[in-house]
Amino acid sequence: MIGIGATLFKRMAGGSRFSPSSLFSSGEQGVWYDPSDLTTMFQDDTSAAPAVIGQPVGTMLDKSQGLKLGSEVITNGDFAADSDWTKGTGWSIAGGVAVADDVTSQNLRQNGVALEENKVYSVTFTIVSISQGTVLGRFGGTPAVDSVAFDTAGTYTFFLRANATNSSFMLRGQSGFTGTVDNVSVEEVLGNHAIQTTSVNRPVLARHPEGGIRNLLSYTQEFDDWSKSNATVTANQIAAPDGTNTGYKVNENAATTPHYILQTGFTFTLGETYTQSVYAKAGTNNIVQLLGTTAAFGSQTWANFDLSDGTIGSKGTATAAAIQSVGEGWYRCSITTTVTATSGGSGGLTALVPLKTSSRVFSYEGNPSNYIYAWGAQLELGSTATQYQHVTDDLRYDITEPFGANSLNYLKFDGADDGMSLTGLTSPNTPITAWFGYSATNAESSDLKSLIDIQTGRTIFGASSSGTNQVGYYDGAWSGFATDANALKVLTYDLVEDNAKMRVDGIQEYSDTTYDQRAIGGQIGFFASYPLTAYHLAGNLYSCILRAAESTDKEIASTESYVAKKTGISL
Amino acid sequence: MNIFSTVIVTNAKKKAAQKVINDLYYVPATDDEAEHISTRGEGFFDIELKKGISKYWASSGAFQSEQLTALINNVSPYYVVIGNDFQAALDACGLTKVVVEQII
Repeated sequence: MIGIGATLFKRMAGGSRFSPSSLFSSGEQGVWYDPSDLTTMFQDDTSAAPAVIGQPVGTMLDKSQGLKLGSEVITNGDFAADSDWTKGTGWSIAGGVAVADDVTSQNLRQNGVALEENKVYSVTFTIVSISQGTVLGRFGGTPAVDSVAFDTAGTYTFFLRANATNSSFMLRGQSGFTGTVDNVSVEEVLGNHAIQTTSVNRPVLARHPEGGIRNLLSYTQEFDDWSKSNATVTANQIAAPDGTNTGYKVNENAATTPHYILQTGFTFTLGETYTQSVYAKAGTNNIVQLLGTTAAFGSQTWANFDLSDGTIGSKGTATAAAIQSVGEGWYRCSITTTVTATSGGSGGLTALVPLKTSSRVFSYEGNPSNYIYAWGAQLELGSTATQYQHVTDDLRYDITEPFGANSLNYLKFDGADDGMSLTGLTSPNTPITAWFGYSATNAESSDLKSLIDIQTGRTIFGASSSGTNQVGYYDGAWSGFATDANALKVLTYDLVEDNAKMRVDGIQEYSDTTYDQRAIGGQIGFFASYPLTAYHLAGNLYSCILRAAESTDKEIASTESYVAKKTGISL
Repeated sequence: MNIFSTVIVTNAKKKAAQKVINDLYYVPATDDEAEHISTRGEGFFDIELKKGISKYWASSGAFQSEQLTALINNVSPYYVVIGNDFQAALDACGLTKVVVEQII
């Protein structure tokens, strides 16, 4: 009873969770980008199809204004009167709805709609009835901006970004559209959204487990994509350890030879210790053998595992082996060994062998009907098999831990040509507080790499500034400090006239009394220079908040905690 | 569908490659829309590469399948590889990226 009362008191006393929205509650200008919020990520810059993990992102909505909607820009969207709309062949307005009769490539158009370049609009309409064809929403202009086509009755809401030529909205009937439409609405989604118009220059929405990526294999439970040597695999044959029907059958073939599966293309370095593991379950065969590539690990890196009783059979003298029951007849089998010679080689080598005492890559006459079950392979540095990480493919954009850590979403910029433009962000001469949760792979050199590059006044937030392993800012000259520029971190800029501070993971690392406060405007580049032509930063963005205002120590600390959580860092 | 790839063209084919992309998005005039001449190609092949005194241009990232198909069929790129490792593509061709420094 006492505990409950204490909890209630704490809540009533103001124990509510911090939200970055409070940084903008007094009308402050800024941006808040959150890759963990999939409702703000879209694949392209026009039709705004939602982005999914592994897909490029062409539009990232800014949450600083709460994704609130602006004023209605459509007149007579409920078709209460037969006015305000120009009717193409087959379109009419009657009975409080727009009526289409066998319409193909003809529009119900409203001209003079107040659309602004680079603004994102929420478009809604209801297909009351439909008997054939499709209808889409379009911003008219050259180029026009289209939604997907809809062919079923219902209310649809989607986002479209306007370009400089768009000044009309239309319903466009296609394929003999016959039906009725009502309640058309177009409202701006308030905020300073980030866009990239060129498909190949878009960052990719990705995720990995909190704590980082350990599994070096790809397609870790999709054995179809592995190399097979006198073995075959069949997907979705049995319930896997995670309860999904994704367990594979691994069969031997009829040849008299070793029978195994593997992945190629690894490089192993002398002295490093690796652990390889796989979930396995007895089928017609009871024994599975794990082994390492000879050139790197020598001939004594292997072990047999008996899946009928969970015991370890014969093994190489250089190998530590472990087997653990995980229920339903599944065992996680692992071997640990140290590289004896730097070499390229294979990983995930998993062999069928007939006996618990069979030797390494034992050659025998196979039977195509014989099999074991397998799932969830992992190859990692270190001497223990850590929580299994599922790596869905060789692009490595989607990595999760079925039994372990939460996932962190991020945008992956390639450092070659990826970057985004921030639209609409302007301010007169202003202090700036900015928080970035990110990691990099090309920031350690003295080449400039931009987190954000603002054209007006040329203020640059540099993940790499003017020296080797230097992070800093530019306000007419570079100011920075030495740090591990590539490391995963929360970097905070607290820039006020004649008082600049930079912090890493909540600790102040730099200060000066020379900061020259600037305005914000013009083009603004994100992970590249403002024209998106240079200073490309290769790395992962987990969270970004920029506030065109001075922030209190408490606001800075609270926001650092928020960004750290999104970035997988404990402050 | 998006296909993560790196496409490299010779300097002589850069403009032709950009035109292939532009042509994909050309829209002829209709009754109620003017002709649209696309400039999307200008965002492609903007990474300058070099090998000796020879100049090449690359795009790397999420190509849409029709973009990749059109480039392969119409331009004969110097190098095309499916995947997301830009540096590996450069290494395979012995090319280096030309760092474009802007004057601040």
